[in-house]
Amino acid sequence: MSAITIEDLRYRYTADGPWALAGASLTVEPGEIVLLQGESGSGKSTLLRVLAGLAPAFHGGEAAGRGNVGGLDLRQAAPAELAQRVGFLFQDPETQAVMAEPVRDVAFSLQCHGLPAEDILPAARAALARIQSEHLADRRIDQLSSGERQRVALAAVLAPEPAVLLLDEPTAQLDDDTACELVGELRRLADSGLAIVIAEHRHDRVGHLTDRVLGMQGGALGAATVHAVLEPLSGMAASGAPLLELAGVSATRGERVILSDVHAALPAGGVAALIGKNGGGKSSLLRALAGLEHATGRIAVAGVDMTELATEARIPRLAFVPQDPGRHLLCESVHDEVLLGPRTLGLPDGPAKRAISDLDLEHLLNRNPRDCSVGERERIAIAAALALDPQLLLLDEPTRGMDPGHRAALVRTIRAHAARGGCAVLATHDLELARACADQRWALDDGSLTAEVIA
Amino acid sequence: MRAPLPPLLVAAALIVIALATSQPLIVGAAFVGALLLHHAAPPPHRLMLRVALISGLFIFLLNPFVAVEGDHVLFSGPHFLLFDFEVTSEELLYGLVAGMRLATAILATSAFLRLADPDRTQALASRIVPRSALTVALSARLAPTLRRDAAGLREALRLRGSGPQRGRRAAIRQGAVLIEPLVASSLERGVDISEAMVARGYGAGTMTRLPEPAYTGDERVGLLVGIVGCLIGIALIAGLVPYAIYPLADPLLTTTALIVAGAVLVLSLLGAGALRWRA
Repeated sequence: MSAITIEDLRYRYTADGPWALAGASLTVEPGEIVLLQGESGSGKSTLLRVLAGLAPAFHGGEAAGRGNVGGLDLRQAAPAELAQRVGFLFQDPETQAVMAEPVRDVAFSLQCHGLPAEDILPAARAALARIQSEHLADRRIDQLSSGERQRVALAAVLAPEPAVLLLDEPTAQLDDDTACELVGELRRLADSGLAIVIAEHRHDRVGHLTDRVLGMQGGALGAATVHAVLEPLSGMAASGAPLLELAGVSATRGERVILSDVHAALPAGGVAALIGKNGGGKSSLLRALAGLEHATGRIAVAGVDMTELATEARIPRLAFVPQDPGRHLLCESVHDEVLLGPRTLGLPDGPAKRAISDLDLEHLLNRNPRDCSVGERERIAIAAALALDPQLLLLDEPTRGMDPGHRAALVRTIRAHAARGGCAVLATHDLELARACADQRWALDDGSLTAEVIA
Repeated sequence: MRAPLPPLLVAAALIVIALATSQPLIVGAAFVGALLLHHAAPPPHRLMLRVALISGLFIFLLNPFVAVEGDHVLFSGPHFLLFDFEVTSEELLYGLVAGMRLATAILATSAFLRLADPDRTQALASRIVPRSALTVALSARLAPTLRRDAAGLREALRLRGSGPQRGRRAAIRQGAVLIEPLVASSLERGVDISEAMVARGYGAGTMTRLPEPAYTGDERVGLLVGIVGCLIGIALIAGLVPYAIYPLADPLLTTTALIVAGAVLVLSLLGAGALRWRA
């Protein structure tokens, strides 16, 4: 019996809205890994939610067609009943933690599956160990980085050993090593009979271990489109007087050292890729540059010492897009959101218009940002930062939820910003992005930075 | 973070004591106890302290103008609509007691929420009130998440060049800008968390219980203090220290009242000391 069978499955979020799923048909056998690809908003996440029984149960709307997942009829089974056989990993690690401690969060899944009490904690720790995260077990989830949270969420989904696994962008927050180990683990699970459906933009990370790749467009399943790999940056690295200077930058959180004597410089026209393992201090460094994390040492942009300046006083000389910016959008339309900064500071709106066009946001301008997908929200936040026309652009994991086409557009936008005399620092696990637009690699490990010119 | 039962009992004892009697010394002792417990809990302290003191002060100041009781007239004035401008010492005393009661309830509840381990609170709720476990789980998760969202929204505003405003009116206006996104965010979060719980199998059938770690020595002391405090509260409800404010306030300094107030203070010191949060 197939693990998943859907026939002419349709779903829309409102009774009179367009079909987000427009007649999808699919069969997945036990032991098979199917990769879903498609642009942001093409219906990948919606399909996974419908397969898990979460739509329409949690999102309202209207569903039609037939589906059977893990032996349960989608029209009859309650979401919690389906969850006994189906593991679902959400796109956003922020949304899926139920408890405050990782080991208890993983244990929650096992409790819901009725595992005997004495077996729960050992099984929860084993699930964390399976994805090399046992060291996170007793920390607090709200103090973990996004990548670490994603690992905890994965452990929570894998722990009850479901028959069907639905994963929405499972590697988006993970460093290369962890992503590689995860994909290997998924292959081993599939080989033991698990059916897995993955929605993932990073074909380079998971494509080689999947059995089938399907494309989604306009809510329908079809053949996958082959996307060109991002072209590595070629040519001379930017040189000249540094636009960004870091000298002896250090920071602590409680008793923990998060940045240790960081020295680096970036000239006008330069782009640095800040890379390193989950929890290595990448976000902390960017937050320190933006003034959101207290740091000592010297941080200067265009010769102006900013170390003691408040965040708002550093704007618009620099602009920062933190991780998960889609959670913190302030306005009711995309247009107002992008123009909020220039209007607050009395800046011209030319850069905002350029960013809207470069990042393909024209068709979203009148939408509420909260109605947009994760990838779209990310682009909105980046456009809002570019609208300030900053000299220094700081981006934390900017390609999260972004499809290959928009990822390429982001590379062009960053390079264009550098070509106009600005510079940028990108904290990213997306090494392809780093190769495509950075001419310096800043490797951060346990708060210590090593800078290297790579182009 | 602590096992939930000891701080719950200590906080409940202080609230019950404050509500069970009108004897100002005993209510005052419960208020001081709530202040101690609030201080023993993890930060942030200032916001809830401010809310509790302002609310208490408001009740204290309002009562003389809405109550029409008491024999010791301090100030005579007209009666205008709902307000009575004749102030008696009994009205002031009653306002003080009511204000301290409200502040005690706010401080003790806030201290409990910050002292108790949310995961273990959730587990305790699913044992005691299984039907409300989802509500408890949602609130346990939602409160810290919303606090983070509020901080994130403030940061987002600063990153657009709008810093903290000087002056009360400007600060209020800036805060108001954040209300709409925060409400939208809380609705989104509520759906997200309940969806995440159900996606993990919550509500499918019988849930097994995670074995709870044994109480530490401090938690046992807290538990004992809470139980004794609750017993004092029950004794006060049963009429251990009868006290009337209207029409004439009973004598304040009686032996029983002094002993009970002293006991409440000692218990509060013990409870707050035992449950004190350590970074």
